[in-house]
Amino acid sequence: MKVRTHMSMLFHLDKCIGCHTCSIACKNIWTDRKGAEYMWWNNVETRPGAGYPTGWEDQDRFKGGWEYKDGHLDLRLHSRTQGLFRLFFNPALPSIDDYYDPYTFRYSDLFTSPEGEDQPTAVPVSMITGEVMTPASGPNWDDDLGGSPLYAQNDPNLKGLDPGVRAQLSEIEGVVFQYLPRICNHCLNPGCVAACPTGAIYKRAEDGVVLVNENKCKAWRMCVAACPYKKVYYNWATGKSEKCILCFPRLETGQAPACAHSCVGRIRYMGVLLYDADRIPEAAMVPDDQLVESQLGIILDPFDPEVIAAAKAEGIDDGWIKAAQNSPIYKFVKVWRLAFPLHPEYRTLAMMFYVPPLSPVVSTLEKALRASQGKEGLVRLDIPETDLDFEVYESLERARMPVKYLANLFTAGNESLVVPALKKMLAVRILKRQESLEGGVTEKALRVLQDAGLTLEEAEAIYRLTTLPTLEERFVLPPYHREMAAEVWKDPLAHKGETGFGYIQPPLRGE
Amino acid sequence: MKGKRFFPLALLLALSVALAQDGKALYGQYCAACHGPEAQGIPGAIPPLAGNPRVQEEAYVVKAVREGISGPLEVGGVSYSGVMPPMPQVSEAQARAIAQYLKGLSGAQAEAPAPAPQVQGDPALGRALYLGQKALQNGGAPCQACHTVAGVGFLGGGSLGRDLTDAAKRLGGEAGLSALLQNPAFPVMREAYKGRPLTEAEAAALAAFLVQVSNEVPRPASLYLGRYLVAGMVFLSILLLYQAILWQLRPKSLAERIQSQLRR
Repeated sequence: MKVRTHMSMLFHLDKCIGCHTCSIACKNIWTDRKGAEYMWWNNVETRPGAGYPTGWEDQDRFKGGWEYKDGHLDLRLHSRTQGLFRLFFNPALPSIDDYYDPYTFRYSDLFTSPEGEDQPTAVPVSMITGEVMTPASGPNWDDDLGGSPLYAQNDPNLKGLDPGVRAQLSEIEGVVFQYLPRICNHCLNPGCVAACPTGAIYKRAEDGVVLVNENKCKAWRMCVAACPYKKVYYNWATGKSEKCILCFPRLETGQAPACAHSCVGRIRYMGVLLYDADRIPEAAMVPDDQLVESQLGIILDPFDPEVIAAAKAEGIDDGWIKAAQNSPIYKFVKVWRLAFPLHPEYRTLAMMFYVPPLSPVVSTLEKALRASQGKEGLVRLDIPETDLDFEVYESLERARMPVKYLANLFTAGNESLVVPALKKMLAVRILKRQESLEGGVTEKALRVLQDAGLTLEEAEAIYRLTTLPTLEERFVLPPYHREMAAEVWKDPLAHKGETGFGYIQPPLRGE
Repeated sequence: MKGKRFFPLALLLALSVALAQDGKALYGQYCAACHGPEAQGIPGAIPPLAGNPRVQEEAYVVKAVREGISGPLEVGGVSYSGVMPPMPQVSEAQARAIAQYLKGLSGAQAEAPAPAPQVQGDPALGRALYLGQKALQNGGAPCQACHTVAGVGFLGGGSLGRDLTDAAKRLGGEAGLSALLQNPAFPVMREAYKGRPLTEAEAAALAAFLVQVSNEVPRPASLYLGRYLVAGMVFLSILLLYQAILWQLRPKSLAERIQSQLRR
């Protein structure tokens, strides 16, 4: 057992309102530079939708992630020999059209245009060429199902859905969407690291952040193609690859990453997970439907004395072990089993986790009812409002957001993992709604709670951490002790002065 | 061990010394192709060596063999204006042996050189052979592969060998060319046609063609440049078309599919 620590983020999708504040916070801090205009290290997608870059989940086109075949785990992009021959020819790379042509507006037009009949407008101009352009795509072009016949219906996660359900998703009465914020998943088995011919990408041992060494990067761009989440970007100005750094300068100074810190819906949680680095290969080499279980299997119990001893033997600080014990991520992922990694079938063992969203209360039940009554059009359900939740609970398979769709996103299509999580969340919702609106809990609600496999204490804990967490409860950040690390080779005061914005050594092409 | 290694070397040395002694054999190897087995030459094309006063001078012969001769020459009242290629592969000792052989020959040689048998060549057949439209009987490469002559052929000829437009004048007219073609004196050409010599009829036809073509007005080089450009453009467009088809058939990303759907 080789215990390592990992900083993980958790996205509670049931709380996401799709405001893009996280994206803007990230953009303003990290990617408002020349060459990085088109990059969104953090982006928020509407689901069903095509995402950013458009259709990034189409691995037949982009060849990201790993393939498990005949007991081998191979990069889908290429083998080592193929990689050598394709150094200068990499057709799997996304083009700027797959991202979007970044644009801004010529605001000076508002002040300099001559007097006339019409209100002056700021003309959109390309941020790359500076020429006037008509924007035709963007990082959230299909936001809130905009252009859904083109975008949402091409969502690969809709595969395996009943044709009737698919058709219903595009009906105005049945329309449903959720948001999916994405950052780099800081995987345990990263495709980008494996594909880099120069060995410029590495995973930090102390917190698992995957970083690109800008001094080593030689612009081969294999990482861009090999990352199944398309979260490594190529900076055309510096000729280096760049990616989400999990705001490690903020983490090292005790602050949550900018996206998490700025989150309006407070959907993001940060915490430490302990994992067994020795068992990564075996966790990645199991059939698709067992991937989530095998990944959760290598996440270790921070209260287990054996694990604590092994962690200390690896030189892990007490502060980190304490943070792992208080980690909200550990509770959601391992204790309550409410959260899953995004697309585990890519086999990179993504370490950012998602709590799947609940469907709107009014669901496809409506339609079933209409059909049974032989009526057309909207019909109000003939069920008391207090019983609606129970109806959803009883017939999750007919929930407005199809369970199969969520399973395709989070559990490689394994519905038997998503359903218990949704049931637990619904049971908690029913319980707390009755407590706060009706002043007491009914027998029925308690039966549902028992059926979902929760005790009253657990339900209370899930409720508190979901809806009422303080900043310290959401972000359990361990002490990094960078001051001690810096003292070894640097004057701490000088180091303090140099840490922060910008490049100490500007990365140059041909370095 | 040492003796074994040097044995083949010593054998080779002994053999070459023995050969050097044999001037007649060397003459047969290096000279007879053009100057004839009896050193009689070809009147008007290749000067005779038998009875030629110049061969009395050993240094001259050695120089001629190893460095070649060119320019006007008069032997026995007949003037020649040809080129004898240098043969540096003939060692000085061998050249001296040849000179020795020729010196002995000149006294004994009294009879007049027999006129070469005249085979009437067909210039049309020669043209076909030159262009490669008709294969050479023994499988030699067509002349055009290396030579150009008065710009004959769609894209002109090769530029590896000499321009043959004035070959008829340089190399002794039809008779000289015919002899030369059957036994090429030029080292590269000799190598190229080793084991697949031209037949007498072929040589005669080619000689007739070369004589005929030397009287034609050479076509301008710009004509062939133009043809090259046109042919190059056609080839390039085929390549680009191939690439365009490949590009169209590549798996398209969703962004591209959406954009093309929107354009429609």
